[in-house]
Amino acid sequence: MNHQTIIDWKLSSINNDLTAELILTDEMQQYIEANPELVKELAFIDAFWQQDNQELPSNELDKRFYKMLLQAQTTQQNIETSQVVKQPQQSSIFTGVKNWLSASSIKPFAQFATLGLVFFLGFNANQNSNSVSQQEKNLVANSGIENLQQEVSSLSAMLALSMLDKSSAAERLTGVAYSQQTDLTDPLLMKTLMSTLEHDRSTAVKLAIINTLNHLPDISEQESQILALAVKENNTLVKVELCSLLLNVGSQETKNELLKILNESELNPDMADFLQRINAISHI
Amino acid sequence: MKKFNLALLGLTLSTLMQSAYAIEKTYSLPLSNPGEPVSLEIEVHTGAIYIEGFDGESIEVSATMEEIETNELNKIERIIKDVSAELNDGRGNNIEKIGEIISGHKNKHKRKQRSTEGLKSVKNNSMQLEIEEEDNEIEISSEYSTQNVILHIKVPKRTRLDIELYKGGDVEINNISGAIEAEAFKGNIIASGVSGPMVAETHNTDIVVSFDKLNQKNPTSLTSHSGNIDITINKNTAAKVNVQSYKGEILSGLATEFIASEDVQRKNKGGKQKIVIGGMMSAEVNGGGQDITLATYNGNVYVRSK
Repeated sequence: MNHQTIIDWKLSSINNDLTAELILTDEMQQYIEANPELVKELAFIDAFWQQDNQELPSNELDKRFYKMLLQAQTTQQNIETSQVVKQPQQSSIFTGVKNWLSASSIKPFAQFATLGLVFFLGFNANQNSNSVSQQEKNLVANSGIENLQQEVSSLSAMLALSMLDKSSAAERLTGVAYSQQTDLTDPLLMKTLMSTLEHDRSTAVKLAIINTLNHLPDISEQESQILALAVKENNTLVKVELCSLLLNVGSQETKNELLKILNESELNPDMADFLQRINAISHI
Repeated sequence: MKKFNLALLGLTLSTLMQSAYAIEKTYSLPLSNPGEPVSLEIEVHTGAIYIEGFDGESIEVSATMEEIETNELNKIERIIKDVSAELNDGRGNNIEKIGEIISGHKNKHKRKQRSTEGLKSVKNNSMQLEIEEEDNEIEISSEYSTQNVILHIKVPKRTRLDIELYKGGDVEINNISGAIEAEAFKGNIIASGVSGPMVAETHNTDIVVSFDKLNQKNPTSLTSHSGNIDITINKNTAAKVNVQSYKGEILSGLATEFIASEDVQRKNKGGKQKIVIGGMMSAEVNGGGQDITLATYNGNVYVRSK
């Protein structure tokens, strides 16, 4: 039993191709439960599969897919043999994959096959990452893997964007979780997260986004917007978290401005007390 | 003493509401596409919602609708507002004071009565409850604040639920394996035999959920502003349980310890590094799995294992 067995089962079950050998057994279930990262990969597959696009692609698009698959396999072989990986070629593959995923007409089977490809590369990139890091001499190969990981991260950002647009709060939460798996450098993703933080009706989604912002190495670009949101927010839970974020990691100017505004506004006494305590702790 | 006074107030209000009358209706909607995914969206202004999952391929709705007379409703709302204000000021702390408040309220809101000579009362029996089904997507709504709607609904277990209840009683959900979203502004949300993902939110009331198993596809998040959050999970469920209560207690029956979940090393532009310990606590149960996040401002968090 390994990850690939489970992923094969998942892809077959999504494609309604269940055979006696591919029915989910208790052993497989236990294996899934014992591997949280695999659970996330399966969720990723599901999320991609559930896109509402049922249109069939043109023959040309199908040919393009198999061409990309061939190119990707070649790239993968190059990595495994630690040979020099030409970055432009790899970029073109993933750019092609991304463009293709963005296309309005994607055949479901081809879509999941591409997904399988992305995971195959992603898994191998991760697995190779450990061994290659031990072979620091092969800097070129490392560069290729980093590029590969960046592309996978970029695909995660695309998925996050897609999920953040869903009507279901649970799916938007999943979108926030996927955004945490990226490096959050995608400007469109960050803009969408901030917009969702401002407008989403679910407290849970807002709190999850604030938690995501907490993982940023630097929030200076978002500080003014977070400050504005913190001031106008009526939801106590969200307001407290926004203020905590700013008081913990904001610039001194922003902290001062926030405290000034809070002192001048009529706050719930409990919340005012709480914020004062957070501020006191943040100076330690 | 305050509890007793509030009970007295409740009695007064229930007496005022006795003039309401009820209509009971039952409906059975066969699904357009049996065996396919089902979704049920409910939006009720005032009432209570009870949902039970079953093995059928139809939606069974039993609705009890009571009219809340507008004048009485307005009167009740004004009394509640006045009494709440007095209680918050610390003045309404005994029965006599409550009586004085209500008497004062009557004088305060006294209106000149119009003549009713030669007129008879016409009861409004056009209470509205909309139920729509198309391609297994069902919508039930009652958006009038003048009617109290109590819904008992049976749906296929796999049904995905989206529920909003503004006033009245509780939302109760049993034996549902589909995704659940629920928001109750004045009542509790109580669910058992569910597997999530579940996103639920209350303001002043509790959220009590007993998970049968846990959906590993999407995260579960339960949020309350002033209510308690009480969950029970199976002892063999794999999950990452995140808990946060700003002013309440966190009580756990899990074998796994909760630890501060954020331990973030930062590097700002100037090269300054900082470690921030966040307010969220996490426990990786059975090796960890999908997230269950429980956050409340004033309430307690209870995490139980069965």
